[in-house]
Amino acid sequence: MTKFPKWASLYMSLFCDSEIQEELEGDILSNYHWRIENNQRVSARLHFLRDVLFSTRFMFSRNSSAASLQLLLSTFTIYWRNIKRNKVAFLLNIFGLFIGVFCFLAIYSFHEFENSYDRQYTKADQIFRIEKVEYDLEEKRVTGTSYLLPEFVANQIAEVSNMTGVINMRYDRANLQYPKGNPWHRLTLTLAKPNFFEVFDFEFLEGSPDDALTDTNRIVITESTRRKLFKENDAYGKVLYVNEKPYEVSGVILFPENTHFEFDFIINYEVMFSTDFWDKEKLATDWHYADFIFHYAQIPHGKEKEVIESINRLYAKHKHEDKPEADFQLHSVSDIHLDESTDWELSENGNAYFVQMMMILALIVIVLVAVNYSFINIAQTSNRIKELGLRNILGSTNTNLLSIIVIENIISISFASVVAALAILWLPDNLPLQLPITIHPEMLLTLKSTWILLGLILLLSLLASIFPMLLIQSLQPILALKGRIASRFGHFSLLKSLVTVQVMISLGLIISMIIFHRQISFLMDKDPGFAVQHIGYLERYDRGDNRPSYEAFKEELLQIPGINSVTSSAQIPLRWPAGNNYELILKGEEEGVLCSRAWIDYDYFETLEITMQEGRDYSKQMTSDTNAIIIGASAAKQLGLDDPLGKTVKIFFRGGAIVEEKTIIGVVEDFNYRTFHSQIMPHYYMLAPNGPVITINFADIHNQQVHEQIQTLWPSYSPNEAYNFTYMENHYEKQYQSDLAQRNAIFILAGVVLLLASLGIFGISSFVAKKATKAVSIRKVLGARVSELYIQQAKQYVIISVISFLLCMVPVYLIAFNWLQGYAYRIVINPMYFVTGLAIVILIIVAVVTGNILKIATLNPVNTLKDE
Amino acid sequence: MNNESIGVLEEMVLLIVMRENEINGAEVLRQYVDLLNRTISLPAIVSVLKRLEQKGFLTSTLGAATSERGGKRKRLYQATAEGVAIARTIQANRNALWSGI
Repeated sequence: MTKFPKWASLYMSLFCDSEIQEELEGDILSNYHWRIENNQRVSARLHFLRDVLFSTRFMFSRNSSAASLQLLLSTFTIYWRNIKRNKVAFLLNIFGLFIGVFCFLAIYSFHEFENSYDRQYTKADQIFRIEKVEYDLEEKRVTGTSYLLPEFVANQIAEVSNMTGVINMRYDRANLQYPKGNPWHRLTLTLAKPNFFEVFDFEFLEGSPDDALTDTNRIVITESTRRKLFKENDAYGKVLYVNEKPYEVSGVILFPENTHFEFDFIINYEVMFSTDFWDKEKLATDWHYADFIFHYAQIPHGKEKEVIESINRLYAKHKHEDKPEADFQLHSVSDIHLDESTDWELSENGNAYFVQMMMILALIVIVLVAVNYSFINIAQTSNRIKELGLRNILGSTNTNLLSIIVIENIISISFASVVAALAILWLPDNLPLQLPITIHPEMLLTLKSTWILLGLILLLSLLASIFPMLLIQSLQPILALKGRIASRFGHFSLLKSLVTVQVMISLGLIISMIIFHRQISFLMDKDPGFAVQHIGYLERYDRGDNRPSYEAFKEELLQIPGINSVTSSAQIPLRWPAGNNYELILKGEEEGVLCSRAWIDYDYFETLEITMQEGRDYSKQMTSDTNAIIIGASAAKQLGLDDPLGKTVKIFFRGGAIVEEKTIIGVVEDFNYRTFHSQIMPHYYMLAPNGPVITINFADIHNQQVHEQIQTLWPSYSPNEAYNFTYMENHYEKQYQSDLAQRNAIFILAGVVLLLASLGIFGISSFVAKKATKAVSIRKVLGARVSELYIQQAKQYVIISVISFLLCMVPVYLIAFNWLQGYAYRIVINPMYFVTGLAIVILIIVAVVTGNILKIATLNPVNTLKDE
Repeated sequence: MNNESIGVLEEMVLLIVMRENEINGAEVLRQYVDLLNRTISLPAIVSVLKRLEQKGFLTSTLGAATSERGGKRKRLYQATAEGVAIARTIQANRNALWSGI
């Protein structure tokens, strides 16, 4: 480094007294060389940086010339006067900044939260989930691994230091009760290997992790469960009942929101395997048996590959010949939340695509905020052009003027940013806003976030200073004193292109929003094949021996006028088990169809209003119906059956566990038991009376009298459970909640971007109008009417909008097209969506600029033209 | 006698200047680091020099530019008679205090 670097010089000219600058620069450089000669390269650089940074101490030093200090002080005074004079412009400015920074921080906190999943464990970076990837019938399936994996791994793979297992029971909630006789709480359970807390070291509020799950009658509950069951009291050592079986509380844990686990309490998983349901011998020997356990292993860095190779070798040795090939993979626990879900994922995964998209939009918003702020600033600076010219004449250098602008920007931007940050911290607790993304203020209280906020303020200040800087560069004092801006700046092609980019982004967002909205409405309005609007359901899980029978309850319900029919099933109609795990094979054939299965009771199709295509429903009169099966239309089609009635099919469980033979007695129309995100999968129904979910078909579901009658019946049929009626319509809409949230997020951001763009265009149009004052006045003198002048001036904004439209059309179309491919049922992109978007944007822009144009068009030419 | 008070850092810097005939800020810092085994930032040293100059304990002249300094001129400081006097006074006061211990 032979010369003093330019950036440092610029920095010092801004913040350091010019009298000292030369001497200081020389000294700093010579010391740098001295340190280099002493072989302290790093330290030389660090000292150099520190010395340059600390040169700010001469900004207000007593030695600095009185004039420059005076200038600084007067900057503040004039800044304050300007605010008072242009209250509206100032407020608009601050408001735009506030909205932009607020959006950015909200999205940033959401982004940070989504990325903070499963990082809180002591050795989070060493914990991996072992997953089995199977290619079965050309379909990729990612599942858990079998019960005996930990034992094998412990014996044969030395690299793994700790391994635990978890069984997902998310869909089967259990009833918790304390003390006996109190009402039940339906809570989510997870079953785990006893050493679960050695790997995942959640904080224990009561009890200790060492003996938490040592016994099958021990239970660990979360703090929120403790509050539900024990209120203010401690839970440790007390006995509570899970589905009427006693368990002793051995620990209370603090359960953070940002983990991929989802449970209210944990029990030792041996409970499950101690029942007769599981074949003990197979559990201990068969690598394919019960392969739904998620195993987590602690693996030191660099050993991952060896571990996976060893497991693959073990599996190859123990694999049955008729089973499909499988590979094992390690999944870092911190990545699980934002990755694609496996079958039977432990909780709802995050949507990485959405999180990224939001973050990109947040960055766009921030850049737009800065540019817009700059636009409004220009309009204001041009108002102050006389002041700047006078300063220049009185001896202010351009640097001085620049530092005035920069300081003003820093003050405004810091103010707006700090207010936005405080609003983010304050808002979630005090205003129950329904935002499409959750704001996590706690994520902003980290060191990293503080730096980001500071960096943001600095970046914004710099970006916002660019245009005023250019303006000052081109300042010509003589012209400025006459109130004119040098013509060099007058072409403002840079401004025009920035306005175009801005309109392009808002237009793109608006069109995307329209397409997004259309698609979601299309999905939600699509006929799901059953009577969503007419039905609701009750859940009755009391499995005690002496519970009153469902049959009697059904009879009583049917007595109530306004109830059409009643049925029961094993699952809520929209919550069938995930995965198509059953294979239907026609007798005598080899290949079959993979299906989902539902256990249903009599009158199911009548209650759900699903149309019978052929054959008949289950009937109480036919005792042979226990061996009968009803299949969906798509299953019949895929089996290639023209006349399915009376045919016999064999049913295999995937993996070969169950083999049954059933006779087809009916074919029903397909019914969408999930969402329209994916194709309706083949499915079939089997008879299993007295299921826990009771579905009711109403003549008028909103008739409160009927509901009151059901509610009075409820306690005598289900004494332990609270009344829990759910409208099917609500449940149905809930499935599209994340889609709606995404739509709303884009909607809000499009609104914010449009608002910012309007603010910016307002600023720029008042600047442009002011420059055109004389031209307009001359035209007026020559006989132009106000309407003509208006059209002539407004035209340029419409042209900008159309250019933006042409530019954004193709990318938006491609993005939307790609996005729609993710839906099995999708809309066709209609050109009208684009035209509507353009119309909205043109309307808004014209509305924004009208005031500024009319202001100059209606001026009396005598006044504007007299001073030349 | 000058009534201006003088701080410890100011005294150190003044003494370093007195050791040499003419000295610039960068060299003051080097000596400070070498002799006292402490680190300090250059702007801190320069601001002390400026302060001493304003109090009348130092005078300065502009020196030549060298390539080592990136073509920037250096400012050379010298102690004034008042500067030497106040340093001696402080030392005398100290000696008086020490002799009673």
